[in-house]
Amino acid sequence: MTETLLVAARVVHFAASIGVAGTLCFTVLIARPAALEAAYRRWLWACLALAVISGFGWFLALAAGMSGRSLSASFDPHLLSTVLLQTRFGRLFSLRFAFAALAALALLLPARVGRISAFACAAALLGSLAWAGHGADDQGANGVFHLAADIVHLLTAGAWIGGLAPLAWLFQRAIAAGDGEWVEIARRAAQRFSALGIVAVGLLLASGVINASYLVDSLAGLFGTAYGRLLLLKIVLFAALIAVATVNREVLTPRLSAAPRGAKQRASDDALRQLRRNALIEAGLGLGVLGVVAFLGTMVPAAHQQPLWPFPIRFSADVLSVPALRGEVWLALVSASLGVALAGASFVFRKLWGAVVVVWLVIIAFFLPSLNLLTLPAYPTSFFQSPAGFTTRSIARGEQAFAQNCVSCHGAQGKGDGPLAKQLTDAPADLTADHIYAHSDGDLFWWISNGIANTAMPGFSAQLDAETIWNVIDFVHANADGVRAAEGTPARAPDFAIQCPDGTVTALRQLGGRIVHLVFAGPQDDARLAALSRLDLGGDVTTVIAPLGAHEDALRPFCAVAEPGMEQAYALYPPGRGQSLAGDEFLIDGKGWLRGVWLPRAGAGWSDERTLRTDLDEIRANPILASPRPAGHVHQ
Amino acid sequence: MTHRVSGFLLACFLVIGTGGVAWAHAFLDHAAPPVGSTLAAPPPVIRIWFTQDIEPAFSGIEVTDSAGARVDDGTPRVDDRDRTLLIVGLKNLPPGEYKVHWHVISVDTHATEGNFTFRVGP
Repeated sequence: MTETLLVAARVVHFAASIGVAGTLCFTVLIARPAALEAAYRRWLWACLALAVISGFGWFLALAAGMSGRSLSASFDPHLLSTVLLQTRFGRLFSLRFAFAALAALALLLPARVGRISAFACAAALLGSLAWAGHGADDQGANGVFHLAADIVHLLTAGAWIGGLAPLAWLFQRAIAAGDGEWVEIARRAAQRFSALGIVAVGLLLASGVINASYLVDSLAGLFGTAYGRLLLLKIVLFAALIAVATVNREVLTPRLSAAPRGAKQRASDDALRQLRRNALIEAGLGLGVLGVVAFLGTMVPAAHQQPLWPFPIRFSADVLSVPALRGEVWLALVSASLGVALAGASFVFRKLWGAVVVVWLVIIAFFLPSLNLLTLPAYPTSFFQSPAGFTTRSIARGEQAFAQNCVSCHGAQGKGDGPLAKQLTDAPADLTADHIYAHSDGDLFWWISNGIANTAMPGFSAQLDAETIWNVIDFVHANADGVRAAEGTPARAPDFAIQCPDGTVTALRQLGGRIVHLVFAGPQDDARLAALSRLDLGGDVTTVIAPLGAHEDALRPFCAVAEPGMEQAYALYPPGRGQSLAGDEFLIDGKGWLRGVWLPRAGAGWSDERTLRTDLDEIRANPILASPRPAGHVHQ
Repeated sequence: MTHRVSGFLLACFLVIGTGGVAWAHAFLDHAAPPVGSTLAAPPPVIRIWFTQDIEPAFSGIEVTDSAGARVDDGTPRVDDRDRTLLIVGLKNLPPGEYKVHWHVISVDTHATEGNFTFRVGP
């Protein structure tokens, strides 16, 4: 009930606000025939009243939604005043109510001054809706940019969609009058309105694309989530609007003529009727768009959902890094782009249309095999992003599941050499090889869940729940990273919780920018801890102790790992699995890269503080700019 | 066919770039104590950072022990300087497992809620 009222109030409020602003815009920019002055005025008052009433409906629905109460229980002065005075929406509501009141006052003023100031108030009433939407994000320049795009989008929609009602009215009046003077008025209005329409389409497209890029964030989100598909519906409705507007501009408006009689006049009368009908069709499509928008605003945007990819392939530019194929693919891309440009040109040189399309099809057909190299097989989960967070706990859980389900084929180290491997015709995949970095987390998720067709790899969705599968993927990545870390390649440091002596709690990833000196301290390491407590390694270094039986007194001055068993995950990196980590030390840079390891059994190393300082300086001098991302994260 | 269409759309999206993600609902960004952590000493407060500014009047945190008894001080507040940070004080917690339930309204009026647990003691 609350949800229904919310969406309904939003549709009416959007439409009415657009009606006020669009009608005033129409009278300022397009036409204001004296005979229609009274009709336009009544329409303005009706829209303004609707905007205020629906505004109250929206406010009430939100008060109910925020407090979790029913609608009838929300008629509570205390609740309503809290929403009005203490929330951003409430303050925005008051401000917009003031804009509506000012617009009403301005309508009472003498003609010209009143019109202009009412127009300004109506624009403020419509544009300020941006703060009520998904774009109202406070955070930084990005937020300002998104907000600006939102405001432009609203105002442009107002000028175009809101102008359709007065335009239809004008056509209606011209049909009724049936004289040459009114046909001329209608012709000029139609011409001006179509010029406004062209500007509007450009601005709506540009600002809409900006908004979509914030809220959908990927093609997968557009095709794979309910939010994205509704947005596609909005785009389809918008395309239909453009098509109707194009017919008006290219076909119907040129037929309008004030010629007194004959075939020309009949054609002109027909065109006028069709223009009126089309204006109403456009207004209907516009209302459809507003309905979609009203609903979209109450949904979770696609960027927050796991998108189900509906196509069997996905785009990948990986092939462009293969020297043998690079040239071929670029040639195909350039040719296909030329084809697209030609097809565009054919709209201008209409006589060549047929020939150009044939040439384009031939080009595409010829280069299709090369263009195909830019695609990879895709699965419904290909664009899923792991929620597991690459924590030590996730990796440890993944290792356990891996040991129970995977080692028989893939082997204890994941190298594809398990006891059953020899009986298989196709060797199981070596999960430490480079290819593991080429697959998206979502692809791995699909293969582990459902198996790989035409191979011995079975699906495990019956045995493992989704969380465990993400854990296994974290383990597989950590395992492959560990092999490379042993050769000196920086690896992504698994995340873990940390508690400091003053009781504050944080996590490795939240230490933002600080170098972490991670020390695994066993019962024999008290002397080392005492030495470290006297050492000042610099203001940008935090020493964190992972207690493996160290004595409490020795631990006291340090921040400590607050994640029992986290050493299981760190054992995947040097020193290597099965070894005790007691005494081992790691350096993790500010971005979260594992940059250095010291194993006391391998030499004096960091027990000499100069060596430790040299290694720290090395990390400071050679920062890795990239943030460690989940291996196989799909960049779009 | 589909891949050509998607390729074309992809090209459109590449042109505009994907930018940063503006979080339109307030989701849990990170918490202290971290979700699922085990602490040696009891934490004095719970802090939860959200992905968006939140409305203090309609946002809260409740912390309960394994028996279901409330162990927070009942007065959650939004940080003055960081409107994405919700804080609630805690009683002195004995060792055990604790459940944190949070519910917030983002400044653009969307409601979200969630749970996580942490442990105190070995």
